[in-house]
Amino acid sequence: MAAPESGDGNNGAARMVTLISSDNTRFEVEAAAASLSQTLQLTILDGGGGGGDGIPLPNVDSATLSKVLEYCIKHAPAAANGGAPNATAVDRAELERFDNEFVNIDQSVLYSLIMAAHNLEIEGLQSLVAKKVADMIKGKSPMEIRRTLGFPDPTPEEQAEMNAHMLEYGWAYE
Amino acid sequence: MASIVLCSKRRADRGGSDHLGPDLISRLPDDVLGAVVSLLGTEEGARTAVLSRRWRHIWRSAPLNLDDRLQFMYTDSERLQVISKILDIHGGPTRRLAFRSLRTPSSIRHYDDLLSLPIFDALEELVLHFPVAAEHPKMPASTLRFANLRVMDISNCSFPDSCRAPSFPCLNYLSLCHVVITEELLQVLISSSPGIESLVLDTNSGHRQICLSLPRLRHLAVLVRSFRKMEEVELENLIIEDAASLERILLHEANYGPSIRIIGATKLRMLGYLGTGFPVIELGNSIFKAMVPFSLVDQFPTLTILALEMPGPKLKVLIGYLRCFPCLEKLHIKVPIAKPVYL
Repeated sequence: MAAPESGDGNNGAARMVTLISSDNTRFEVEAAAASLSQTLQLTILDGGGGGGDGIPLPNVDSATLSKVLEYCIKHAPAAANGGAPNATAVDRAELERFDNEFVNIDQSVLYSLIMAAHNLEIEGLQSLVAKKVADMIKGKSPMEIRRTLGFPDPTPEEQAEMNAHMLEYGWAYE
Repeated sequence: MASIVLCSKRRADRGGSDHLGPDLISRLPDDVLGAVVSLLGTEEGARTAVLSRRWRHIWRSAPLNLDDRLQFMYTDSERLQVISKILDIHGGPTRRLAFRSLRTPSSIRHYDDLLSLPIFDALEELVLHFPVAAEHPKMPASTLRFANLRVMDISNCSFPDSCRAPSFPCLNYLSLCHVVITEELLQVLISSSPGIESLVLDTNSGHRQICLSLPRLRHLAVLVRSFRKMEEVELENLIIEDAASLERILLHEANYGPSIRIIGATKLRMLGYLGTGFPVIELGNSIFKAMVPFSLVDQFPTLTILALEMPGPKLKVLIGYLRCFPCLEKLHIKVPIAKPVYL
């Protein structure tokens, strides 16, 4: 992916931007990290978020934003190198370890993270969380998936619908 | 402190409760759930439709992942019936298509019709394995029509003699295994796919030389197995002109390897097996002939894993390699088992 310049050329200091969470917490972060968000990238390229201004994010609370930024800061250097070509295998292995650990979280945190990744359009994070949810589903029967995702027990009506559906999609249950 | 995000995005709960129930995942937008379902296997993805009313339409609205590895017990005709049922119910588009379980030549004839279906126009991943046969079946030209492919994995067939020049600008992974392809077509295929990062070339024929100039190539695996048929044209020369990103070169069946020339391998970490079967190996200006170091001009300090195949550890030869790869951490030596002598 194209990444904006990571520094502004002044004494090699990286350009910083401020993001403001829904509960009014200010986060100062390198522009290169925040620019992993497609949603923020244009604003930042236009010079937004600098100085005392800050970019308000009314949809993201501070706990979630801090988690999102942890991801962005970790992934920004590899993204700035244009992805694969300049990252070494060791860097990639380290990022993979980080990613695995990063999504080892309970469902309410995961939910907030997925919504934030979706709204901020952070491509790598979107794939990471989608894969996490897919892994929660893989290899389980429908009832086990319902339990894993915290569905209430099916009502008799729901159960009848499920049975009818299973008949219709017989090939998927052979 | 506010701990609930994106209230505006949430639908009003039953009973208007502000409490986030445990079943949060189901509240995600359709396209997010669709991305999840699209990562699941064909049957597993379809089974999510049974979970609840919320999930009922997700599988059908998400890009299809169609893999013919359904039930092992299916006959070819049962398998084809289920495939057509899935295509009917789902309606596309398809993200990934894998055909590798059909066994008879008469079933294989359906490949052309299937691959031509508009439901596959936006395909990103294609796995197409033909059943093993004495004579490689012809691959239908429709196989090469998918301009959005990121992954292409083809085996046991013969590429068409004449076809429109293929172009895969998004291709990231290419695997060709037991295929017959002319030098000209292979060269066009590779040069029209500049984004390839992983390339597997396993016992193919129909070409003597491959010249790769892939600036993003990280992993390369080349296999030339030992059952040579004299009438077949096989790989003799492999030239990698731009190895700027190349990290791993995996070579198998060292008895019959091609000659290899690699230019600019500044990131190479793993190389092997090198065996006497590779007539000449040139790494930059360092040259090995039939495994013996011949000219050791360039050193490769990035290389940490090396694998050699040699009849017995020859110290002089080994010292040559150590000089060429001064930062070696792991050295594998495979000693071929001597043929038993029956009296």
